[in-house]
Amino acid sequence: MIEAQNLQKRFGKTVAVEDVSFTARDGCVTALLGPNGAGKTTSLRMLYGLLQPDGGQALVDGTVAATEPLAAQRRLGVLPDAPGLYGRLTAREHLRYAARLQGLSAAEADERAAALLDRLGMGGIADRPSAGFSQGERRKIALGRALIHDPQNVVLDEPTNGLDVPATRAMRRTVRELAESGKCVLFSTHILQEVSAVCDRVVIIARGRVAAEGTPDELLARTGQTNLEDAFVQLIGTEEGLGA
Amino acid sequence: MTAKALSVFAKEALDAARDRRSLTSALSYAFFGPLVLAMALTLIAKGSDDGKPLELAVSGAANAPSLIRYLEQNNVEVLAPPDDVQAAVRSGDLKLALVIPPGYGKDFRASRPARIELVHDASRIGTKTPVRRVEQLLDRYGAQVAGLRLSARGVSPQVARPVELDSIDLSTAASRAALALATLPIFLLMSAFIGGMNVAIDTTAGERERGSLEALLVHAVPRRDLVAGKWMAAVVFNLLSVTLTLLLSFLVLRLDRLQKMDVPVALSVDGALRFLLLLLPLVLLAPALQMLIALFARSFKEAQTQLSLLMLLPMLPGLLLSFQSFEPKPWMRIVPILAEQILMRDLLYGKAIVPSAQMLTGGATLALTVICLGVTARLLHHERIVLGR
Repeated sequence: MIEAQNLQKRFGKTVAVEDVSFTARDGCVTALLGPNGAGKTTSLRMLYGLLQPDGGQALVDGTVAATEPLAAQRRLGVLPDAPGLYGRLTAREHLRYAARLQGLSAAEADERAAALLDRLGMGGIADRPSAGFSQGERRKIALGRALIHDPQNVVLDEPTNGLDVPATRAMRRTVRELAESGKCVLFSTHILQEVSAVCDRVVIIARGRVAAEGTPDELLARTGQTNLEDAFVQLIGTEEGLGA
Repeated sequence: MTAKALSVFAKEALDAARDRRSLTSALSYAFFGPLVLAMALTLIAKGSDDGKPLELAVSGAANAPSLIRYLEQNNVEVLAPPDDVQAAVRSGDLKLALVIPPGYGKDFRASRPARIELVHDASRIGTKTPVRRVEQLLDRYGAQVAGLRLSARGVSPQVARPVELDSIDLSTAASRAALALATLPIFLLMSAFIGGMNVAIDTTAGERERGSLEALLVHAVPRRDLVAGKWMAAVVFNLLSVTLTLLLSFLVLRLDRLQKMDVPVALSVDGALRFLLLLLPLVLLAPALQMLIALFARSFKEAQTQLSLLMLLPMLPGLLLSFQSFEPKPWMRIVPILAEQILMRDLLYGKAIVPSAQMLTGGATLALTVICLGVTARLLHHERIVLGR
């Protein structure tokens, strides 16, 4: 379970996150939906311990991310904004490295890497250097890295950004499977379709604040709209920065 | 050392070994210093004429038998001249030649200035020394003959010699070689700063520029393990570079040609190991310093530029040390980099190195290394550094 409690973050005079609170439960896919620049990435970065909040706190299974980052990170799999691969390393080497960094033994690392390569359908490219990989293949390695230590909580920052249709569908399927196996999945997106396709709960963020939280149906009921797009526009008060 | 730090090391070493840029920068420089040294020493060996007879082609030797005898008594080997002396000198077949015209004997006997031509090409390297040697011999021969003529006329030869110049050049090929060898510590120092530089930059500024730093930091790894692993990878490349430079220098000094010259500072196996031991703290320090500085750079290129410029700084005292005979002050013994250069100079000139002095120097350098690594690990907690803003 991931909890954000009144998170605040400023960069100089710019307020990136003003007040963000939400809960992402186990067995659920929770979407952080908001226009570009709403504070989604900054909020997630406070969750996985890269940024220190100026106020409030982020909890991963009850552990405060800011004060015990290593304990929180052990229970967390993260797919950051940029895949950040090493061009001279193969897919398998990436996964093995991630496993070792998370504290798995060499034997466990080999075993987990092989299992994940198989599960993500990367068997054919497992031993090729990643420099020649497509966007979708890169994202798969990054996802494999996030899941390598079988974390209870998974945080994905815009996981389908820049992917083609088959890769997007594969990513969404994986996200669903994770939640169905009891994991807590939190992902950010600015794409409305994605929300209705995979999410159990939605947290709408605009201008650094939570505008609304609930199931897609609850949000429709609250706004009296019949489709999510209209509900969303009404909730955040603008159409700016949205992707269909 | 933790298992995680070792994993980071293994990954960075593998990554760097596959990077042609890292490998070439670590290895190509190692050839540079010894190569320059070999060339300089070979030139000195070639120019060396210590005690060797001077070969001199003489045209018209029969016109001046007493002069020829004088030359031969003074370590000159008189050779038969080619058909066209000037053409041979112009083409470089001959360095210099003496031409004694047919009228020499007549003029000499009549006590008129007798003309001799010394043909040479001053623009060719290596002609200056033999030409000067022949000129000096001819001067002395002239002075001797003048003295005899004055005595025959009842005048003391002293009268005609108001000043007597005796130029004594003590430089030998060996001492000139020692001067060239004084550059060895500078080359070694530079190889300790170049060998791991690419890895140090690539794993810090490069990692951030490619966007992989954030992905790395989300793993449950203490920052000090990350820094330690990356640092060790750079150290390995550094050590490779320094060892190769030393090995090649060692081989250069073993060349037969140089051995014959009796270079006083020939590098023994023992000496080479001492150099390596002396350089070891620097091999550890350089990547730590470079990683720290690279983290402040905005890009790989910027880090590379800054570090290349910064590298020249420690070279300056090295240049001074190699050319001046100055006595190091006590405080210099604890200034990392400078202190190592002082010790290397001592080692080069066969001065005994006090173990406590070396411990002091090594300790100061290691302390600075630990500080750099600690600060680098702390910096990885800073948002501005991590996000590169």
